[in-house]
Amino acid sequence: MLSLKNISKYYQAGGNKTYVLNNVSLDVDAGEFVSIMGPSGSGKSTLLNIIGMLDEPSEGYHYFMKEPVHQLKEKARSALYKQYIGFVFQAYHLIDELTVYENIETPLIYQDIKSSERKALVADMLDRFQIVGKKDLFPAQLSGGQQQLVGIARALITKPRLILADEPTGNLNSKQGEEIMELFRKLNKEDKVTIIQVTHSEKNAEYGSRIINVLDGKIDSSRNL
Amino acid sequence: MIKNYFKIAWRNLTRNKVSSIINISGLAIGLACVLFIGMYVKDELSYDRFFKDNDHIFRVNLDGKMGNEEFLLGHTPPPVGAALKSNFSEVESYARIYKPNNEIIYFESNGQKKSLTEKNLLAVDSNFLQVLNYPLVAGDAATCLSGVNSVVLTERAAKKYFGDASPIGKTLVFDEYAKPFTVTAVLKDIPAQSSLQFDMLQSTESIPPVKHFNWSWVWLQMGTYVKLKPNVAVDVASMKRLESKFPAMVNQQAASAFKRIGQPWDEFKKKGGHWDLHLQPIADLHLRSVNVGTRYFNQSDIKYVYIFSAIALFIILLACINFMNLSTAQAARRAKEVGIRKVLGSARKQLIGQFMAEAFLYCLFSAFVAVVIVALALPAFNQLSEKCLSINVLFSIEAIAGIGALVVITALLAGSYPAFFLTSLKPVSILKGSGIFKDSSGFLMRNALVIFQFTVSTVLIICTLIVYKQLNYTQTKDLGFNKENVLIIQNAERLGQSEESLRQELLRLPEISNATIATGIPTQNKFADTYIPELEPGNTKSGENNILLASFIVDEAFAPTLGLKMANGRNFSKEFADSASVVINEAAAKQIGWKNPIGKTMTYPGGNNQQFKVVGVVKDFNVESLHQSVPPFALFYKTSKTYSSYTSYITVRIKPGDYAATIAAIQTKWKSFMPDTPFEYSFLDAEFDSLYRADQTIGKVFSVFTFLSLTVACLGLLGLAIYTAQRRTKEIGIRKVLGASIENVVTMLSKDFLKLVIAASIISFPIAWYAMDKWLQDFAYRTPVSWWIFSLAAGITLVIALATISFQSIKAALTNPINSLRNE
Repeated sequence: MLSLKNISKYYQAGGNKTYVLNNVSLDVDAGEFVSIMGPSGSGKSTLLNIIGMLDEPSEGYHYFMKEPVHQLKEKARSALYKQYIGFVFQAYHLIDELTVYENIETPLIYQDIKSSERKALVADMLDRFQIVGKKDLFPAQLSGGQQQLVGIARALITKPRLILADEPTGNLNSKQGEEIMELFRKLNKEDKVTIIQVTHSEKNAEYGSRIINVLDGKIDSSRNL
Repeated sequence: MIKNYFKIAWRNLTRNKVSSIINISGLAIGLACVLFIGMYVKDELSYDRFFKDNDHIFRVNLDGKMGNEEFLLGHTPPPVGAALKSNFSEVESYARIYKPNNEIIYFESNGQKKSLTEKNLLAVDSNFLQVLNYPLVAGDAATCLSGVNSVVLTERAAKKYFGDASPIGKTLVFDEYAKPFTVTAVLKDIPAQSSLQFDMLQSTESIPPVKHFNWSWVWLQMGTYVKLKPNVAVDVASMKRLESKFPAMVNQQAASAFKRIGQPWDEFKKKGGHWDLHLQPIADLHLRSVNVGTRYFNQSDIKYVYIFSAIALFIILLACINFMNLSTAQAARRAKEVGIRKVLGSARKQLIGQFMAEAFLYCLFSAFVAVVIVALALPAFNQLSEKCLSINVLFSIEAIAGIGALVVITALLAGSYPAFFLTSLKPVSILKGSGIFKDSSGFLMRNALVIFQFTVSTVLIICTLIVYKQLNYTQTKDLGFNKENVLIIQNAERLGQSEESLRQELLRLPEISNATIATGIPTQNKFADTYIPELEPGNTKSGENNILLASFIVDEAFAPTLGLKMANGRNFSKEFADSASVVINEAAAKQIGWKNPIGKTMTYPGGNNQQFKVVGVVKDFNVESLHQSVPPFALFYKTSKTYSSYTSYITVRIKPGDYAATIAAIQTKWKSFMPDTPFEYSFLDAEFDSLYRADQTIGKVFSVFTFLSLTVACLGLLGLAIYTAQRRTKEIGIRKVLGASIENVVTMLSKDFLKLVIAASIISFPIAWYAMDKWLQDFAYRTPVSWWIFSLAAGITLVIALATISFQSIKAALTNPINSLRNE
């Protein structure tokens, strides 16, 4: 599904280059559930952002669904990730001014999907996550776990093939975290959604099928579970 | 999608109440100013455009030079209209106007005999209403003025004289002719947008001076309109061609008249004189005739249309800047939303659309508030601008379209910067980590905009101060006489022989210190004509030795009553036979070139070539507004009969005290002489004040718009101060924990803004100085532009800005640091 070849990301600081990622290569197949682990500052979030095309590498080749991302223009790249990728954030990043319903609906608006169809899709999603009763609440009125549930629902609404999750349980208590991870496992198993998550927690990492350890901008180890 | 945009916009609007109120009130004030000024400008531009065949009607102007005097007048000699019509086939018809003196009118209403002074009387040629089709309510435009003793009233005048009864066929007795005039037609009230205003029309046939001067090409007291034939092209080039044929005609026609006044035409031309006729489109009379002298037409200046339009533009710009500043200041909060939306797949143009929709919503909201403001404040604005604008103007289709366009333009202006700025942010830099976003970007832009706002405000403050300083100067400048406590009694010419007896009677009143009889007084009724002064021996000044002298015919009490000071020689006196004496002013002596004027003579070819000997030189005194410099001026003695005047005034110096009682005493004396003639009086200082009506209006309008622009700028500053205090809450907390005092924090928060305001003041100085220097050129006598005005204006701006900021700063400084730090 995606392939990174010799990806580097560095910042020019004076005469020196400070490497965030250094010559990283990584392949992920469809249907995998990958957990990226590593200490703070190791480069794991940057790696995730590059995979999600939110950030550009300084060097290297990046293929996604057989497209050479490193050669694509901004517009084509945005179209590509709009179609295939859903994002889940540690800080949820819901839009405060929108209700639960509207937050979930927003990506569909940007895909120019008709209003009636949007209604049906959002209603399905609310049903599936059992949050129909909360659809008119604003994010501030929800608990952290509920907000993240909405965040995931929003990421799934466009039926993405890949979900990128940056410490999705980082702001949650352990019980809420467990529920979210169960949900990810179910999505991976039943809906065949590819998931790449960044996590600090060994326990959460083990929900996945592969664990990659990143250290000082390099892939330190990779093991299948 | 659009619906979604507006939903978000609405929620943002209601969520951030403070910044919404600041934005909306700022924009509403700005839009209200634009609406007011727009209505004002539209009204100014609509003068004299309601006549049939408007573009074919012209006023004849005279561009003349006689002696050293050059003038451009909206008046012509009486024969000009007829001469144009008979010589040029392009001219279809002409009509002339003449303003007679105020007339005392006796009439009967409800069976009672009454009398009134009619001040809005106009004499016109009999076809006047066919050339200028002021609409009639009753009567026939073609014939209503054909009788010598016909009058036409406006509805307002008809009501004044006859109440609700039909005025047609009723009679009014004109005191001057002791003859009844019959009302033959009633006009609709003259629209405010007519530069010619009158309440009553009579025929020029009935006016003695018009008949008396019908031969004259130098008696410049008539207005002449011509109407060109419908098939005549009236573009600028064609009009130039037509006008180029006029001089030959004038040469031929004016010669005999010039000879009659002792100025043979060839000699007149040789001395550099010219006498050119020009046609000015009637629609230009109101705004494009500032340099055209006239006593008939209600003139304004296109300059003020431009100035006010510029002010409107600046105020709306200030309000837009508030919007931009507050939007970018809140970028940190909005940035998160932008980042998420971008990640969720929004294209940049969709986000721009969203921010524009938000700006549009604000503007729409503000426009409603602005219309409400306009509706509420219109009476005050009318009073201020001396207009009678109606709110209905705002509900015409074109006005609504205009407001719509204004809203869209304002939205584009206000919304574009935040839209492009915010949407240019990269999502990854916004969303990285916990989403903290450093918004030092936009900081420079914000500062520049604040400087711009305060520059505009300070310029306006300086302008207002200087306008008021000049107006104050016009009231306090030494005019060469004492204008306080001088009462002018009009209609004195009607006393005839008993004028002097009344003066003697008045002098006996203890409240009166002096009284004089004169054909004119400063501000009123000077008569100008050409005189030929004797050349001083040794003066080799070649050629031109005519002088145009304005003058009054006065008695010996004139100078002491007004408080004129003699520079040289003596005033008129009963002890001398002064019928061949003249007192000139210093300006006249200077222009003639007399080093020692006393004893010199001058002749008056316009009369019977009388000779006058200079017995005194009076110090210059202003007879007109301070816009004009003191002209060469002469005083003739009452026994001289230099020329005849139809007007006479008794001018009285009264002792300060109970003015009402004094006036009542004078009125009693007047009534004992003239029981049927109304007692009309005015004060000299008030007459002078009225010369500055237009300037005072400008001053008032300026101060209002200055206040509004300052309000808008301060609203913006307040918004920024609130935002800065919020953004720096944590910093303030830490500083306080580290031991900063409240003063320290307030200073820290205020300092940055004050720097901007000071920078703005400095930028505004040269701009304001330049603008006001130009404005002051309109006055021959002007107040100096002192440095303290600039410091005062900068001080005012600073104090107001400081007051605006300090409230927020102090509030932020007083916050308990525990509360602000716990959140982190």
